[in-house]
Amino acid sequence: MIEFNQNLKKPRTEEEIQKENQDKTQNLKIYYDYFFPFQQIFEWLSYGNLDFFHFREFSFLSSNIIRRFVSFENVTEFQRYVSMNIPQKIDYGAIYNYPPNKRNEITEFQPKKKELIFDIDITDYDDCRTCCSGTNICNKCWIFLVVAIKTLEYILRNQFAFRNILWVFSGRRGVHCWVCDKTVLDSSDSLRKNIVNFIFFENDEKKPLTPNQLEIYNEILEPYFKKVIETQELFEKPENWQKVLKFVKEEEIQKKIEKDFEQLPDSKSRYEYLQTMDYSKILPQIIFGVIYPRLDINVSKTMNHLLKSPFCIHPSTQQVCVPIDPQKCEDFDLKLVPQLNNLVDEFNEKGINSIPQSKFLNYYIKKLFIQDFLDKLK
Amino acid sequence: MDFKVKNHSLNFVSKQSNELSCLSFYEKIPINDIDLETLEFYAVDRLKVLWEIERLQTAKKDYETAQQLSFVIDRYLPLSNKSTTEQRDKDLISHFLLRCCFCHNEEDRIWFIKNETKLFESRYYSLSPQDKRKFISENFPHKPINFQLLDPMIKNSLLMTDRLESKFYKIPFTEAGELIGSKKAYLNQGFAYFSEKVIGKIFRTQFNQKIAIGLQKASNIFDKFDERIQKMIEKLRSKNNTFFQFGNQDGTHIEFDELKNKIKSFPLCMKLIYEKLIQDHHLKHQGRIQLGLFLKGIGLSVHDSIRFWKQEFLKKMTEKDFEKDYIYGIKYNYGLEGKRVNWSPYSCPKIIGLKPAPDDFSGCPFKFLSTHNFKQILLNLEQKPNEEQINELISLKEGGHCQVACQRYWDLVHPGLDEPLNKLSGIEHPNSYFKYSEEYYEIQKEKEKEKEK
Repeated sequence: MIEFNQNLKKPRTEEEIQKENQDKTQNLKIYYDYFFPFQQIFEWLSYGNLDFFHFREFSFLSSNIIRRFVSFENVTEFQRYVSMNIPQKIDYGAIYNYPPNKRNEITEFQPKKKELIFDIDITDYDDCRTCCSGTNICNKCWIFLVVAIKTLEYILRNQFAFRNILWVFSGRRGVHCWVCDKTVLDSSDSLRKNIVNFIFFENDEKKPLTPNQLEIYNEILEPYFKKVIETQELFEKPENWQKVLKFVKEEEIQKKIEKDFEQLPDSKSRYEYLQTMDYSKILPQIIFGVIYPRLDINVSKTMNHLLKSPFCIHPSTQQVCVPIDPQKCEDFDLKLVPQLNNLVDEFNEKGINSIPQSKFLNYYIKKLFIQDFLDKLK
Repeated sequence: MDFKVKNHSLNFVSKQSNELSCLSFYEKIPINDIDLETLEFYAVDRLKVLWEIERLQTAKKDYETAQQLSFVIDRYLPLSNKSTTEQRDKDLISHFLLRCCFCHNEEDRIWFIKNETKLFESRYYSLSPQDKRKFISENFPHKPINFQLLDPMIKNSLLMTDRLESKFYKIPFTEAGELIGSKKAYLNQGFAYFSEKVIGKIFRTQFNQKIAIGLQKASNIFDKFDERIQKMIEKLRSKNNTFFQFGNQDGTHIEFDELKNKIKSFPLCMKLIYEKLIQDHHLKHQGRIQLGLFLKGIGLSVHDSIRFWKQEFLKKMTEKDFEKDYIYGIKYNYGLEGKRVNWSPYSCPKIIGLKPAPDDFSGCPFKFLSTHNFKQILLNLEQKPNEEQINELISLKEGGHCQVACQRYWDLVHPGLDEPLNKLSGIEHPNSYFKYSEEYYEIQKEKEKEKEK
């Protein structure tokens, strides 16, 4: 979803807006012509088979119009289209049984292959965040997404044994995940649904934790919960701990904990109190409720859903949708995400020669995209 | 005996088959001499069962559903390991025949697979323990794993799901389907581990997939059938359509200006949505689809449909906004945008299954209205019902018998018929409600004419 926040600030004249839009388009063109890694994206999306690329759905947003079911025979066509139309957003859909731009030529046009995708948005944690709300996000909120990434990584790698996983910052307030293993590319919508249902956590006290959930709890959730409490100051004051204690199902116990919390001196002792409580189910209830990944499951369940391309420029924030290293996602600093302006300045200063070694993008393209992801696909 | 016939070529089902488990994945087409009449009779009986399954899914209590379902199955398609060859053949033949009826479009296929799977599941769970074991040995090629050799972590995890004495299995997660989705298996490094007691979920998944493949194949071989059979299939399809689809295939057409006079024939669900639209000059997404597809079904063209929505929506928004936000959806319903499917109007089961947001009048009013509001609606009718009629309707509504209640409601607002027009035991589709109502007003008109003479 695209939202345009520009109107919220001081009112501007038509001319000013037009000028700004022109600048943005010009900057975007420089970005697409010199920075966007078309060749690497092509290598990824084709998985060594040109047809995979040719039959893939592309979708573009330009001047508020979404064009779906665009397709290209090769990377040159793709690059030429983008350079001419300068889209504000590029999305990828499924690989179909026929080139999507010619889909009217056949009767049964169907998606055949697709990465398994996940979309996690910080706004889904609004009821537990103490620092920001809505579209705002800061490094303190990031901890929720860290837990989400770590948890999904554990499930996808250790439980499902997937190997080819790409994490991408969505440009404003969330993260995207692309699972690209062959078993997943080929899986039917029904298998996708089952995978997603397996991962999805239903908050139902009647169901005891499954062995897999217990594993995640011990390996990831419980250790990280302490960090979340610290960063978000969840156990510092009553209005904060209410956000957490609402996940205790039995009302009486919830009231008792609230009362006892007030008697305790600090955050640390409150956490220890919860740990030593006789009701062993209480802590897991809270922890799963607060920090278990909150997924937009409909995105993952069927093949036809679109997801924004890595290395797009987010239309509102102008930030680059850079890959994230899941091992080091705790150190990801929202303030350091490259912005379109940085890149254009770099280009204006040093000229074309600087591009392959762009100090802003080099790490994300060479290390995270090529070395950590693309090379392992082959 | 050869149980492992895995290819899908035609296989003669010999008498030996009685020694096989009665339940099957329908992989062998029976070749018997059979007369056309019996063939049709078989297929219709199966249709009845599938429709009952569809209907019961919207009923209230699981327990009652299961009981009623096995009652219907026993009546029309009895099957057990003691079944006669004839009963087994009936099950097989009717299944394959209906495949040919339901293979032609995506919506039919999904409907057929869903309800056939329910039928299969219901039968599987009513097998005796002995028969169940037989079925497992025939259809599940994996051997139990040696528990003692497992990694201790996996051992511990499995012991959380079942007793040590049980048999445990290990298969790639891609084959485990719903065992994963329902969290009944333990997952480790891409393998699903599970105890024998949840194996039914695997069969369910397998069944589902096999029928889906079978339907694809059926659509390929349709042309090769004997002409008489093709005709019968067409007949069955149209029979099913009267149950089910009520698209605008019957070619009726309604002009925009006529629409005002047709509101009186709208079923209650559509009338309420329509009134909501008139009141708010706006409708939420679900209501727009439900009413929009209904209007398409009674023969409103896409052009007139756009006029219809505009007339109300423009009282509250600019034409530009309307075109930006709503034209796409209207055209989508007509298969002119997006997936380009000629969507069928929602059937009653589908509408009953909808979950309307508060203050959104989509869905089935016999389900979502409070008793108080429902009574108010009845009391405001032109044809005032008596107390007895009100009580009957309310008790039907409260018992969850939405479609029967809707039928009674129809009877109520269409009084004075010498014999009931519609002999169905409940309204199956809002568009059939509309059609019967139109017929009623035709008859009334003719009666008037005769009086004048």
